[in-house]
Amino acid sequence: MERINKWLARLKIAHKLILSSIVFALPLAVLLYYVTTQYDRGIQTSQREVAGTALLEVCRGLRHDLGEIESRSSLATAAAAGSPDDLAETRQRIADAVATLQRGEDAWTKDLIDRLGGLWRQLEASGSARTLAEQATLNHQMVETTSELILVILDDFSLTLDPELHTYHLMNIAGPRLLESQAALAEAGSVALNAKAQGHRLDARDLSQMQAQCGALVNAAFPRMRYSLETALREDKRLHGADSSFQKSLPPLFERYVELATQLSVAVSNSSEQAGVAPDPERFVQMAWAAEDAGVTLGQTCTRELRTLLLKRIAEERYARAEALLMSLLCVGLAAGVVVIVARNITRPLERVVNLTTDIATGKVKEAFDRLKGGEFREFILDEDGGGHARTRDEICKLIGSVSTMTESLNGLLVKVIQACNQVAGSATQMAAAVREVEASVSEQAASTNQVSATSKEIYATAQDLTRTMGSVTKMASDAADSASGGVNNLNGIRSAIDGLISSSAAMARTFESINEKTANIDKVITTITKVANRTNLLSLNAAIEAEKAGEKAGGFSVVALEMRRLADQTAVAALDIERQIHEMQQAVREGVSSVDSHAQQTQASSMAVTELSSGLGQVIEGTTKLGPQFEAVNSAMQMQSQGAGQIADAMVNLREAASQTKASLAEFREVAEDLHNAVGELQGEVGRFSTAS
Amino acid sequence: MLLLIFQAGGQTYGLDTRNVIEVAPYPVCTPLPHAPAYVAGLATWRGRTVPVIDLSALIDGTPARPLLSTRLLVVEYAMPDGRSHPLGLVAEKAVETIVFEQALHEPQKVKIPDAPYLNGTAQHAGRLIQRLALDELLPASVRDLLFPESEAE
Repeated sequence: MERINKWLARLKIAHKLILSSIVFALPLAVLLYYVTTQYDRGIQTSQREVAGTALLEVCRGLRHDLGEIESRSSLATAAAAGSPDDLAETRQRIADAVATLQRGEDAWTKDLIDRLGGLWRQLEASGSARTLAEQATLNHQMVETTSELILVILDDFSLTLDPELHTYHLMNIAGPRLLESQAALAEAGSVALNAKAQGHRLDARDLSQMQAQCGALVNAAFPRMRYSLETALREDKRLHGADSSFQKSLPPLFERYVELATQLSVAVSNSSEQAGVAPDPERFVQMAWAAEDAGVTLGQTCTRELRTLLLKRIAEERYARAEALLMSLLCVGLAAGVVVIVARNITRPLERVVNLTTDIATGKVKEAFDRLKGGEFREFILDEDGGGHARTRDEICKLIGSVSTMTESLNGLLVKVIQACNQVAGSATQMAAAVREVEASVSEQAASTNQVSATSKEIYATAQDLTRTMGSVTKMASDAADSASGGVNNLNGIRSAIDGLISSSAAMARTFESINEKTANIDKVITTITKVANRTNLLSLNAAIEAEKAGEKAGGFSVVALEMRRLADQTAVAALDIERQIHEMQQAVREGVSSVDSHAQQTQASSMAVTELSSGLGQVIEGTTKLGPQFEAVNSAMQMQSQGAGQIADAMVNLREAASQTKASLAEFREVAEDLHNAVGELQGEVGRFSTAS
Repeated sequence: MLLLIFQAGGQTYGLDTRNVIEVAPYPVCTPLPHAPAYVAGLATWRGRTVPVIDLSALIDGTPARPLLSTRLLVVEYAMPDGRSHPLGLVAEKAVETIVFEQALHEPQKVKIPDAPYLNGTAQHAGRLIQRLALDELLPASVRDLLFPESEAE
């Protein structure tokens, strides 16, 4: 079964249809073979019957000739007038007939024909050596054998089994019935002939013998023959119409035969009634001969008509056989035509569908779509309802409908995927730009941080200087009495240093402000990235759902959709990481700002203290010794200021660390964005294989 | 089979994507007065007006928060009489689909009369996901309210 399926799979649909038709034609051919054989058998039977009638004819002639010889020879003994020359022609005919029979002999008739040939050879060879009685016995044996041969021929050549009524009955007349009647007539004739040969008149015994034979003839043989003849005539009229030659020729001949035989019978009856008058045998002999001649004519005509009918039947059967063959071939031709039309009707749209799907498979979706829209399959769809779907039961039309729906949805899916790709590619480009922007911001921030760091170092150094100066001031204050005017100068120096310190603090505050601004920028960019990641996730979800609905047709797309979503999720995570670091950075900046603020307040306090010192300098000269605690206050303020500067420096270190972390995160993010870009590029390449109609 | 994952009340739920037409951003809903609390109202989707059900309110009793990850799932809602309509579902954290193997599915063991829409559980990467049966989501009264019989398709 599997092998058959494999073999069938290699065939085209048209070939399969033709194969099925051939399979259906096989029983037809077998049937045709049997029908033809039946006709052939009928024709052969009829031909054999024709051959049988020919042999029958020969046998009948032989029998008649033998009868003639018998009677002539019996007459010849009486009158001694029958010369052998008279009979030479008849003898020649008998020899020919025996030769003909020997040519046509077969297994059934062989014995009889051989016996006949043997008897004839004996008869011929004996010549005048034998007595007349012996010759007559041989002759009589030959007549008997011929009668038997006729019966055997009737059976052997299927003549008694003839399938039609009129020929069967005709055969009956020509064969056994006529034989029977002729035998009775010959018997009656031979009685008269014997009497004539012996030269005496017919006595009562002869008459009663003749009367018995004639009675059998008239009362038994003729009614049966008449019945057969009537049946044959009726049947022939029914089959062949009212004017066949046999209907015209046979009845008069039969009537004549019956009439002559009846005349003989009536004459014999009359003679036997007139007792004492011995009639002349010559009259009866003549009457019997006339009747026998009529019987022979009837038999010949019968056989001829029988042959005509049989030949007609052969012709009819040949015609019927030819007609059956012709009609069968016509039907087969018609069926083959229908099969070819149906096969074309199936294969033509299928071939186009195959072309279309091959186009789709090789990526020419646009061409396939255009061909569908161009109405390539319109001729195969009978009529359409409102929705454009065919109302048909043909699977091929349904297939065409499904293929067009599939092509449309595939096209739609491809268009959507291409759009999604373009959007994602745009998003990736945006993201890359955003990353570059962030990197620039971070670089700027690093520069600003370095500036702040430098400034805070400067401040720290200044504060150290101040402390040292304050130490020398304190030292100088200890001997202020000597150097009060020097103290005033030193105080002026302190004020100018503090002024510088204040302006440095203001610059630092401005720097922090700019850092804050940059950080806010970064925050905005991160928000944009998060939105893009959100949109990408949304697109990838819808793509995954569409791909799932498209089923196996879009196996590759679902993998791509999953990959898109994974990248989008990574992007979102990276964005969130950056956001967290930005927040840490902002925290550090805020701490720096507050440190700067407290530093500024301390500077203000130092300034106020110096101002107070300056205003109280007038009193310094009076009570330098009271100056000590005030100097202490200045000194401690200076130290606090120095500490504040150190804190700022620490904050800056933190800030720098945060900035380097941000940079690392950004590098990672850029890698992810590049991955995304590459994946989208691959996807676009994959989809670009399909041309689409939008 | 593909499951769309979302969260409600801190638990993870899954919806079969065969019925999902589109996942859209969180929409602006026009509330329907005197409707049940979980009917978020009407929203516009692709030029059509669709009724919107808040899944967080339906399952957990608290309305969904308006986050980026809160989204509108437009589904094809099949009625018992054979018609079907688009229906909007608002769900939190609808950011993921998972390929769900049938072998990991377990049928619903605990039947809760007030939550007929629970349709078995599925395990995926150590998470327990409760699946939702879309056609059991709405009680008949609310279904007839949102999609009346006489509405022409």
